[in-house]
Amino acid sequence: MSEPIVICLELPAEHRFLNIAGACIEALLERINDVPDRGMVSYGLQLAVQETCANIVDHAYRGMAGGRIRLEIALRADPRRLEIDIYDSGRPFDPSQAREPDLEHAQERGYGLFLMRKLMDVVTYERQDNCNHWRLARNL
Amino acid sequence: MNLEISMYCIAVVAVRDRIEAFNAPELRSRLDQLLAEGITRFVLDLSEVPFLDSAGMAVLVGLLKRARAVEGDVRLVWPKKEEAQRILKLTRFDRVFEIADSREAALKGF
Repeated sequence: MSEPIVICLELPAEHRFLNIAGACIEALLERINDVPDRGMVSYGLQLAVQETCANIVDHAYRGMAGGRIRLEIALRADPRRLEIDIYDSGRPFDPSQAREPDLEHAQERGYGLFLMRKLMDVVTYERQDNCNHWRLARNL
Repeated sequence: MNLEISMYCIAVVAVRDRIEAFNAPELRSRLDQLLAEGITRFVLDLSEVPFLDSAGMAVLVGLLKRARAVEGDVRLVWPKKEEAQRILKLTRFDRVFEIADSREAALKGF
């Protein structure tokens, strides 16, 4: 089995820099041959990463300056999939604060995690050694 | 001559940028400014919006709620980008908002 292609990024935990992660994913996907529905897949991955990182800025690092977000983007073969591990050292994620949106009634909050789950094949979270670790994965 | 003349003002706001957590507060503030000036009916033309995240969607819903609270409304114009359309469908925004194919069609709806 071939070794995964891994790209690492570390960003300041500020909204203005989060588009860098999306741009990196888009650029990587452009270099992969024969991705079915490439535009949709790329957009979905970019949005899922944006939602994860925005959540880290807004909640994990709320009121804290100097936070960092580390991303490891791995393209694996057989089966081909993109895995994105996202780490921060902010407050733990509290699943009780993340309710599913009521889609019949528009609301201002709650769509972030919903979209991540809809767009990805895998969304996991774990707290490990005072760090938060999110894993997003999408088969290609 | 007994005349009653009413003039209704509709703000057409065309966004030509990503709407995401970074710039959503600015968009919200500009729309709030229009509401404060007495405008209650809005067409948000999203046709040139290439990317929309949940913070951007929150701005749309917030405007809808505030506009309806003063008997106004918000109509949207579909983003041209199919990927962005999909997000509005996944979240069922196409049921909550009236979304038109063009700015003209959205205005006609009022």
